[in-house]
Amino acid sequence: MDLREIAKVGLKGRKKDTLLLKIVIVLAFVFIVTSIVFQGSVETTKLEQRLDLYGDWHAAYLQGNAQVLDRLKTEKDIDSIGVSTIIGVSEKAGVIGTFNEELLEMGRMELYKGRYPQASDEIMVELNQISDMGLDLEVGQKIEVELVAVDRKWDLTEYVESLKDKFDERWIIENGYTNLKYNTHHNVPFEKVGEVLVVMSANYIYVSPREAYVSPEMLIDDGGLISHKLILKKEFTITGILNTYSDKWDSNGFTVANSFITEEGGQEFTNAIYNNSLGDFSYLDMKSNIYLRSDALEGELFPSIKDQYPNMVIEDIENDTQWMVNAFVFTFGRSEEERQAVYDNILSYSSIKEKNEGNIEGGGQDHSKMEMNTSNFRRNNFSYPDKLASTEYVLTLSIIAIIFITTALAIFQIFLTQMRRRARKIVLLKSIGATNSQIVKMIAYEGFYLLRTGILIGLPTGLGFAALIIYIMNKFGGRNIDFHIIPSLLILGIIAGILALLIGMAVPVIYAVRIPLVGTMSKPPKHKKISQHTKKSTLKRQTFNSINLQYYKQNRGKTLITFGLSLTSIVILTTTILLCYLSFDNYREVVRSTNRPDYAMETYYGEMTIKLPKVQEELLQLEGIKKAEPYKVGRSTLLWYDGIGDNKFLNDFKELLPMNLGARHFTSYNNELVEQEPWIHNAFYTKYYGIDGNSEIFDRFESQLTVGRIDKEKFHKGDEVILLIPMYLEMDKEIKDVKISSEQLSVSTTDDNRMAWIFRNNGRYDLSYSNRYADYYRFPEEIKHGDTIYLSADEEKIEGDSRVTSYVTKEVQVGGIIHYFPEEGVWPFSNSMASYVVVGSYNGMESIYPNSRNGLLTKSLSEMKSITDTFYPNGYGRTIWYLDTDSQGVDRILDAKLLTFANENGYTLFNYKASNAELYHEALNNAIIIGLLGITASAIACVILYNTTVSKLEQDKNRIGILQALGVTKEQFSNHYLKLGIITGIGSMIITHIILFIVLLLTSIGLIEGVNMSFVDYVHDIFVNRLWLYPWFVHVIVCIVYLIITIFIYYLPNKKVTNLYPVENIRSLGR
Amino acid sequence: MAIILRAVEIEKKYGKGELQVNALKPSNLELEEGVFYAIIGKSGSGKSTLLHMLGALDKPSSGKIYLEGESVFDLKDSELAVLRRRRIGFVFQSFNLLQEHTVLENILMPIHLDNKDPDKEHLDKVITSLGIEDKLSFYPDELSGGERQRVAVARALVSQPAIVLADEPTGNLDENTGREVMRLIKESAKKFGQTIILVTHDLDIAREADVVITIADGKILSIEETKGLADNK
Repeated sequence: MDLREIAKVGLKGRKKDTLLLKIVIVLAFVFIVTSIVFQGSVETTKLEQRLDLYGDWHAAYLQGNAQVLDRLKTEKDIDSIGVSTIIGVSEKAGVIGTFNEELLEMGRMELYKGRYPQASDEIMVELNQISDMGLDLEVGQKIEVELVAVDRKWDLTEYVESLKDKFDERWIIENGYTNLKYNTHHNVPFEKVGEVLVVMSANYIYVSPREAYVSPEMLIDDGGLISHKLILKKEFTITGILNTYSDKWDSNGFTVANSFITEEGGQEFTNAIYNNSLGDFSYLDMKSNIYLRSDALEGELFPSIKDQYPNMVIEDIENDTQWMVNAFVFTFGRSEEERQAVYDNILSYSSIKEKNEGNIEGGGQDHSKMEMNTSNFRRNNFSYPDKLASTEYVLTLSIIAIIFITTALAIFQIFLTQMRRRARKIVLLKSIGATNSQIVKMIAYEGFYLLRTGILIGLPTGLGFAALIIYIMNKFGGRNIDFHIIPSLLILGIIAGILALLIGMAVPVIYAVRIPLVGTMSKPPKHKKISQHTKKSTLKRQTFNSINLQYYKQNRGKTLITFGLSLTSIVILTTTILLCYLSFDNYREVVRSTNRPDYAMETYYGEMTIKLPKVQEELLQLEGIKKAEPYKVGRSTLLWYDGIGDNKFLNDFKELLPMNLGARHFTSYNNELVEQEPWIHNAFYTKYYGIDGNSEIFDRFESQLTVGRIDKEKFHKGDEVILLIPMYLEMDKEIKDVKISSEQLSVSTTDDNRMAWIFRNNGRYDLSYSNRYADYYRFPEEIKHGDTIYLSADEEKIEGDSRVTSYVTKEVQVGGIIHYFPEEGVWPFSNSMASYVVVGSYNGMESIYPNSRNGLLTKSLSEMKSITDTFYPNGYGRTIWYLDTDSQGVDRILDAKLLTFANENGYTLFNYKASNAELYHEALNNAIIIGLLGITASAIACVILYNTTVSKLEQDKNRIGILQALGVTKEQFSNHYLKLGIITGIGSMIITHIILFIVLLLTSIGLIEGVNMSFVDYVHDIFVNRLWLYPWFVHVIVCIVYLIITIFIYYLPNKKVTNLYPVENIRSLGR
Repeated sequence: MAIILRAVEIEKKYGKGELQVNALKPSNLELEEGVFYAIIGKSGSGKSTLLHMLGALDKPSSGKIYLEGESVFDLKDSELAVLRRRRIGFVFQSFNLLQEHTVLENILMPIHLDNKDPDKEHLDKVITSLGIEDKLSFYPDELSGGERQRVAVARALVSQPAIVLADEPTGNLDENTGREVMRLIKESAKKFGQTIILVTHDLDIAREADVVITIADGKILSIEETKGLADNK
């Protein structure tokens, strides 16, 4: 019989031990393969989804020119270049650009309908562009594209300087500056170049004495050119509707095309720009977005060449030239201070004039984010995020590492126990001449056989298991994961499994080699050596329990090992649940705690209240829509109360706010309102959300009131409102070096979240609506429930041929105030942190936004858009729907249905579902991996525990036999092991929970910045906030299952031993 | 004298099929109260097997054993345990003391496990007669082989069992210590009127018994009364 045979027969002979080893190694391989394949599949699917969403380009130079393109073409590492030359901006089709084949390919452009353009008069338009313009979602339509190819403001400095020669100070003093007149002239010559109609629109200014005659020729020849536009017109046929990509790609504000024409079509436009007789536009540097792919470098393409491609220098004429001339004229001959005052006034007025609130919904902007990347040359971070930093990547490596350690420990423990049991046989083999190397070889063969079983069973089972999980997630979880194996990662996992086995076997092999031919390697129990023995010791009566206790005390090592293993199992299990829970942190924080809906739909007009139930019914009829809640929202609501001048928050906000943003929040910046009543000229701009007093939304708001109560009748009439005012914490630290320009602030924050952002970033206050801070933050007391506030809104109306602005004011009572949301927040307030938001009834809202009562009425969408854009920007209010669906997955059919609905009703659709689903599924994937890891690791720990318990019991057989001989009954033994199981289980659970609590406590310290918390506060915070939505039910079930398993592990093996007669157990000593 | 222990057709087999070994072939035995029995035979003859079964430490493959008229292996597990604890004292060749407990704890264990307190007078007597009164607080691994065997004897005698069984109690001891231990067992038995069943392969020790049972190849060959028993009778 050779060594291989001895190993094989030996494994067969030690059935139970071999089975345990096989279980461990198979479990390890099953888990390694499952997790790697699952993770690989999810990663690959996610990558594919990312590439579909964000394009398969590695880097891009946005707004580059021909020189940049030519240089990039010479880069040897670049395999393909997708180019989109931006032709201009059109009202109907958005930004018009060209495309090439490479762009379609690397952009993974998907058509919603139709085909790509082939002829020079064909165009494909993005879905959202079609939707925004209210065009039909149909191909074959002919549209006349009128695009602005050149829109240039000229620097008037030279002309303004020339005025000084024309009108010296003396002339101004003698005649007065009001005697100056500035004449403007607008001319629009046109010409047809090929199929393209070219129109040039130029504006001139000419300052003259009031009485002087000025001809158009004088204006053109001697005046200053303010601006000119080159407008190109051409008819196109829509051949395709492109799925929206422009708001998804990593472009960060750079202009990208919304509609694509062929390069030939682009050439026609370029030709028209450069070869017309209307003017010389050779200075125009056509911009192209250049997308790059490199098969060899992939994500490394950008860092490898970025230094060679700096940003483009952009000629920046930002001053409003018209106002610049005004300022010059009005300040001519005045002091520097007076001049500055005029400029400031102009700036603030300019700001009011350009006050563009955009969407109320704000696109779901996260108030905490403020990142900007203004580089032309950029990496596609959306498609190719930094791999090393990704959670999934770290998780995969951690899984392999943890399984490696767990498997190695399990193999080590089981093999070592086995070696102890096999000591006599090994000694026998040695005594008949087996060398140490032969012993090692024999054990190595055993390892080989185990490995063979592990791989043969573990690999296919793991693959099957992964396929099953993917199938279940696709079938029931609304996912679309493709089964995918990453060979390199799988090989790494298998190597880890093999290494774990080899390392786990190493120490037991050394033990086997070192077993002496005579004597024993076991040590006597460590009892306390007695130095002075008494003649006769007094003795308390011994019981079976005390005898056992004595035994465990004196064999602490063994006792602690089994207890430690039991503890390890429950620590792994409970930590797994906690980690699974924590993996949903982001989802909870962003979606659940803010109550972010799946979709929001906002329209630019106030829908007739009477129509809202019908719209709601239509929305709820769409398959998948679970909830549809409407708000009628009035923008730019003026809020005032007696004493507003002493409101420290508003005063601090005003103080910290850059001047040119002041007019967006305070009416006092508007000099035109100085003569108005104080509730008009000294008010704070907020929003008025109108809700149905008999709806679920009302009940929700009412239940969340922090102070006060609502009289439903008064609320319905609009005489009583709810105010949302966040709690605050005085941060008490002055941050002086906040260097952020008003422009950046304007771009990065919304009107809603600006106050909270500024307060926080200036170290003044932290504002919050979160119940987590309810015990530590203070409630502002500037406005109390029961107080009277004045709400006003613009009442724009047309009188004659001009728009007249007056105000409608309503005096209302604050019925209740919400300072924080007791549990889940209410979207969008919980996200925006807006202060002094008014929530009232539809009637209340419509009483100050009277046009809102009319809704669409008989007007078409485009007419309504013109009315609200031009005449009544605020008067009509807005309508917002928040929609929730009954699933977590992305539903493209529902997306399309909602888009159509939005299109038909003039709504803008905000899709949060994709982002909600992404957050949810990312968390779910991590939770599955962590769960699998936890279950496998604790299963292995349980196998080790079982093996240790059995092994310990076998070592105790002699003692058990002696006790049996001394009259201990089977029942006593059974009860003892049952108790031991219960004590170990419960003890382990208690310690585990203490450990977890300490971990949570330690990680809670300092989490709530600026607040001194007591121990009780931390406990409250942990259980109420950090463990909010914690699956306690699962936790309790897992603990119960663990306890049952532990009891069985302790209890069952004893039966086999205690069923034997004493002498059989005593004889076992000789094994 | 009354019969205290009776074995009827007891047999012990190990293993199955072709590998089956008859450690003890069907045997009958009647043992009287207060008599000192020695079982002798070669190694592997089945003497320890017989002793274990007589002491209810191992179950015969077939046959019955009656202790004071009661069928031992028909008792419930708990009754059998009580019987072991109260009526039988066993001295093992390898002492089988619990290493984690002191000498006194080891000695008192059968009484304490029976939820009783020891008869102090009797305890003192046993301890004194075995000469271990100054070793009571020692742990077994702090004692010599002879001392350990004395402790094992004390443990067997302290609960005043009806029968004391000893499996080569001197096997691991030197000659003098062995004799000393034997003397103590005999003296104690005599003092307390106990039946002693002792397995030995030392003929000198066997000669000190009242009855010598010879066993070979798992079969009782002879049961012979010695001169001593005749004198006693």
